[in-house]
Amino acid sequence: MEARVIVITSGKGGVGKTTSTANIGAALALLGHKVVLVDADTGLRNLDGVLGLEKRIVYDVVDYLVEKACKLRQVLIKAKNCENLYLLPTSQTHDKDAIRPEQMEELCEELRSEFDYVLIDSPAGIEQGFKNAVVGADEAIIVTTPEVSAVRDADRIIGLLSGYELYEPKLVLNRIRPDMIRRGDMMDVNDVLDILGIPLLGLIPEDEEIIISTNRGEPVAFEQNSRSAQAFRNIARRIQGEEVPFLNVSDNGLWTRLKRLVGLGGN
Amino acid sequence: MNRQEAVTFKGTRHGVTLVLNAQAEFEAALAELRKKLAKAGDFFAGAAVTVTIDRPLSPTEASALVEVLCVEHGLQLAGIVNPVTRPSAVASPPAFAPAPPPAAKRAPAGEKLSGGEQTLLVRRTIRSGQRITFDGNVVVMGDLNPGGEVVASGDIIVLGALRGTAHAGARGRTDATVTALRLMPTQLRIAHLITRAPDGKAAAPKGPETARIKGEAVVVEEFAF
Repeated sequence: MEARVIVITSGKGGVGKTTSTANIGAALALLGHKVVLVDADTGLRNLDGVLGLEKRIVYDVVDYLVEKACKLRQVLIKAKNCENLYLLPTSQTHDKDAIRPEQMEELCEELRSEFDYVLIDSPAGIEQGFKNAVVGADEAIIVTTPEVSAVRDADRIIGLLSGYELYEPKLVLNRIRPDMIRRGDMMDVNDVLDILGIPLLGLIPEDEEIIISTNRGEPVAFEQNSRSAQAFRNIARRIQGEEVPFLNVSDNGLWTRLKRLVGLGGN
Repeated sequence: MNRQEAVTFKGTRHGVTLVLNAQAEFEAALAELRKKLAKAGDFFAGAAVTVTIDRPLSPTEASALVEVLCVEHGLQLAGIVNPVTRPSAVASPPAFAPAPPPAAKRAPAGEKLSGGEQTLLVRRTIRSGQRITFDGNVVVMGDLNPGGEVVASGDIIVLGALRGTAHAGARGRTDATVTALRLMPTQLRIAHLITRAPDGKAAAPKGPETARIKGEAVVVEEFAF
């Protein structure tokens, strides 16, 4: 096996990197791929919680890479309810400087032979933790929300990624609220794409289910009837190369356009 | 001294000077530069560099340099100095030390095209956190995004949307202009004047526009040849 190593990053915190990592990973695993999720947010780890695995951590990446206290397979934790999904937890008691970029690169190379997909959950910011997260990756996914500050930070990250030869990152636009876009209170999907100028990988509507499932420690991607779950499953299919139409989140769909055409509806 | 290095960094009072050997092949020099910068890690990040080379650089070469220095390694290009365009008789300080505004007269249009002033062609979008500083004109083939900055002693042309900050005539040339296909800057500066868009959401421009100084204010007009 020769895995694709994909870093999921954003610059700004709180836009949904960790949730996206967990759910894209889960969706890829549902498609039958063997996936490992690497938490690169040393000192502020959360990926374990989103997957509901925090109680099962015995060893972490620092134990393996720095302390050399265990084997790689002792660090890997198999997800609940999913055969193909694994977590590589990081340490909560160390900080970002505990791991050197070369060690992260070696780790990615090692995981490459064991999995189909290696997804790296990057920390917020552009410092050491970010560098560690991107150094071993060969593709990047940028997560942002339709807010001016988040988009600007995403733009900064896209610029920085080119320094790591990650020239064409893909965009996941998270927490979209069609009602707010319609009222003109939220940036339109096209506004964001216009500024960032990178290909779109997925649109995820704001969804209470995500908060519920995240707190419960079960990725929403496993749910059948939620819109955000559908969005994550679509992203996974696009990653494996399928053409999947985008969910209609901006309310500019056929129906709205038809209504506009015959003079109903505003605008 | 038989073999001269293709790339040498020198620290000067005005900042860092990067000396490129004019005899060396440009591609080889670029490769060596990449290697040196990679080795230096974050050491040069944010530093203003003046590039010196004993021959004129082609626009493609200048763009490649900007790519490596500014985009890949976060340095600021203060200017490219070579004796062909800068006669050594002119004792001008390298880089962008805040120079007294020289009362430069605009050359007739025809003469300007024939050269004399360098123009830097940037074939990419300038993103948040990226800054291009150049002694001459700057043409951006892409967007200038919010949080990005272009500073030029001459004119600035953005063949895309200008949403960031542009400073034309940064050495004091009051006849410098800023032109963009979609001019909606965070802030515009020409020579000593600073303007910004009105607060609140502004309507997108209908077409290309040029900003220039008229009287004591920066005025934006529809672009005309």
